[in-house]
Amino acid sequence: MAKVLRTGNMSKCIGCFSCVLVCAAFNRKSHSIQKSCIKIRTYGGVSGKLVETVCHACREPACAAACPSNALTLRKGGGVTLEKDQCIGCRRCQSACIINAVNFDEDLNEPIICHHCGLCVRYCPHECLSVVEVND
Amino acid sequence: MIYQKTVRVLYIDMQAKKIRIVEREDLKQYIGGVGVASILLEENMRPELPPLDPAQPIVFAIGGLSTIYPVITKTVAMFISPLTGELGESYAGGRMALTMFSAGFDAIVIYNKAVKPTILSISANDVNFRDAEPLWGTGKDNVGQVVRAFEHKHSGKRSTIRIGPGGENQVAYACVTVDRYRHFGRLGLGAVFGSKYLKAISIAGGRDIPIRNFQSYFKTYREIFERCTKSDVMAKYHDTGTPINVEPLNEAGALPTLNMRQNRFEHADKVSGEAFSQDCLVRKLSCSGCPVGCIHLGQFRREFAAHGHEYETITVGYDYELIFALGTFLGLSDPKEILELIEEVELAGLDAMSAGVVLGWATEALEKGLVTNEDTIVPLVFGSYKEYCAAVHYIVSGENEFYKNLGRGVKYASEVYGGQSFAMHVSGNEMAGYHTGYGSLVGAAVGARHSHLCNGGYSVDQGMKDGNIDPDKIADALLAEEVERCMLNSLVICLFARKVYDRGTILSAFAAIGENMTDDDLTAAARRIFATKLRIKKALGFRLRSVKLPKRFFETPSMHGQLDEATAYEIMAKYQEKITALESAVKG
Amino acid sequence: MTTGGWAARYTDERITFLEISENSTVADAISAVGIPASEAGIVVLDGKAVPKDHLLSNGDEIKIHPLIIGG
Repeated sequence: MAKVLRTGNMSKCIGCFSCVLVCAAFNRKSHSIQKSCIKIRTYGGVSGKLVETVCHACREPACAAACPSNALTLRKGGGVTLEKDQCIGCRRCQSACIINAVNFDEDLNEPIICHHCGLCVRYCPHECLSVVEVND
Repeated sequence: MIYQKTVRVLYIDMQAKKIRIVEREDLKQYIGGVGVASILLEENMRPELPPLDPAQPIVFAIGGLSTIYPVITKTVAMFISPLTGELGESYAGGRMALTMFSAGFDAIVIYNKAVKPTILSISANDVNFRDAEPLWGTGKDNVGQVVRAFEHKHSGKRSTIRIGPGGENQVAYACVTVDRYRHFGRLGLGAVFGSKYLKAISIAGGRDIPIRNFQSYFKTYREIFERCTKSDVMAKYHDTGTPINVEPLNEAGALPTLNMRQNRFEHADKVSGEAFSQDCLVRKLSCSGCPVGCIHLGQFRREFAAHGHEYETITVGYDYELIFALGTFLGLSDPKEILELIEEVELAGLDAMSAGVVLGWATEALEKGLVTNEDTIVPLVFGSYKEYCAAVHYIVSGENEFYKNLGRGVKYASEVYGGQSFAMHVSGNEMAGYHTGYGSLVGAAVGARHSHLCNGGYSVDQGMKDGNIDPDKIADALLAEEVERCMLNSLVICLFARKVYDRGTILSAFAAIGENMTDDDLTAAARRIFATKLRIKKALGFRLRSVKLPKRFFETPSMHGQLDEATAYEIMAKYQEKITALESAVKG
Repeated sequence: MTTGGWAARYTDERITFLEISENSTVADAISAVGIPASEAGIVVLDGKAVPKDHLLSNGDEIKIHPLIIGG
């Protein structure tokens, strides 16, 4: 069994950005929200909804298919893992993902790939996010 | 910046459309926030010119620990207040601190007047002066929507700071709205924006700021996060929020009602925090970086045409201060009517507290014949919200001489028409919603920005027993809290978290990012910052001994009974002695 | 005693009938209900605010308010 992120309860989201801040801090050792896997933004301004953008752990990920150098390998449970040595920084993975879940790290010249660690879930004060177990 | 030896200041000349970035090592000793902003205000202000002169600066600053720990979410704005003519200092949350941080600026100084209405667009790599002509004078609040369109690539990492028609027309208590639901409310920053043709500022982040010592940083972050979310300390700000204050203040006889003729409201139960939660609350939001979520949004349905069942839904933020100023103070007992009046004030871009107090005075002035029906255009009567909604529009437009005068604040208006004894301001800033005792009253007089937030005077009153008035102790308590808040506001924490951020936590937070401060360092910085503010106030002509408190504060009883005028002035005199001593100590 | 919805965190009851020993104070009653002393604000008995060390009598009805909060 493997773990994947689910984001089903966004109506409770208060826009605190804790998920974004801890992801960037823990996974990329950065204080910058640019380095987070998960993004939170408004849909039509602050008076509209809050929406998340994060990897949905596709079983047949378009990002991997688009990668010309095989730098994205399939992950158990869905989604991908980045082989840094193979990545050339072409950003085709970013364009391929229709939900815009692939961020790009300009400083390291590589995509920011979610590995469903679940830290964002732990730091959400309102249980908007969850981690579920799925078949490998 | 954190990890740096310097404070990074962005200077913006609105007229020449030029910028300068200066790395200031000398500002590090002021930590950040109000500490840095005070020095920048002192350096750039022109005491010999009026507050709304184009040469006057607007200073924004974030703090020594901004955004990297929970609930350290605020940005301070400092300016010369067009309302009081002296120190202007105001705080707002939203996303501004986060975006300033990730754009890489610790402080921003804006000066001179643009040639035409402008939106400032600030990012890590650029500052743009964009045309805001189509948005000026329209009375619409779609600035955010326009900014979202031309700044599309910064989606999710942008803050929008804007004024409404109140600011455009330079009403003395016009506010600045931050990300829709937060404000630089008090003391008229909106008018200063208006006087520079500054319609809005958009700030977008983008810089990488690598964490230096991940293990110690994340451990400290986690500990603070748990205290903010798991303990009780912050819960009440989320549950019912500050509106919970209505009933206890009413019970205690400290709830300013009907222009403070009364200290209780017979319909308090109808406008209590619980009443709002049950009838109107639809959503809670937070500022970026705060897991508490204290923003309470209420909703009401409004018919916009007489026939045909034509309705619109309005969602508006409410807090205790608004329920007091635009509710109990004006005799409104229906939460939906209060929300509608809040929305009018919000669209106008005025400070809700000042607007309410001003309208309360105007109502009584009309009642007593100091002004006429011709002056007020509509009959202002306590409890009649539709007329108040109309009056808000007239204040913004300066519809006639009376409303122009009203737009300069209740102190000014009462000096023109009379009724000074019931013009409920303290040293020019309209009162806050607490008539708890000498703490709240004297606290507002001696507070550097005449706000209940300077020194939490109501807390001093809450801790006192009846009949035990020690002027020296009260002065000490107010001074100690004000000086301490100078340090807290240099970080810049949200004051709701002041119980989480005790000295020990603050020192750990600094240590975890490699800045080894001591308790004495924090105290020294606090006193240094306070002394700076006192110098600014003096340079702008403020003299504590000249403050005259409106008589009604001594006529309507407070939570601790009727207040005595002589005692109030005695506490103020003692306070003056203490700050004179502090000033010499800091200088020497 | 009545507390109002604010104390939902500490007690399910809005109105509670308490049996407490003689010579109990208001503070004792507050803690008997499970509300932390640091969270309790004004207490009203017979329409008047009473201090926390006030001694209670049989049949007394008190209303506990939360602290006044703000910045």
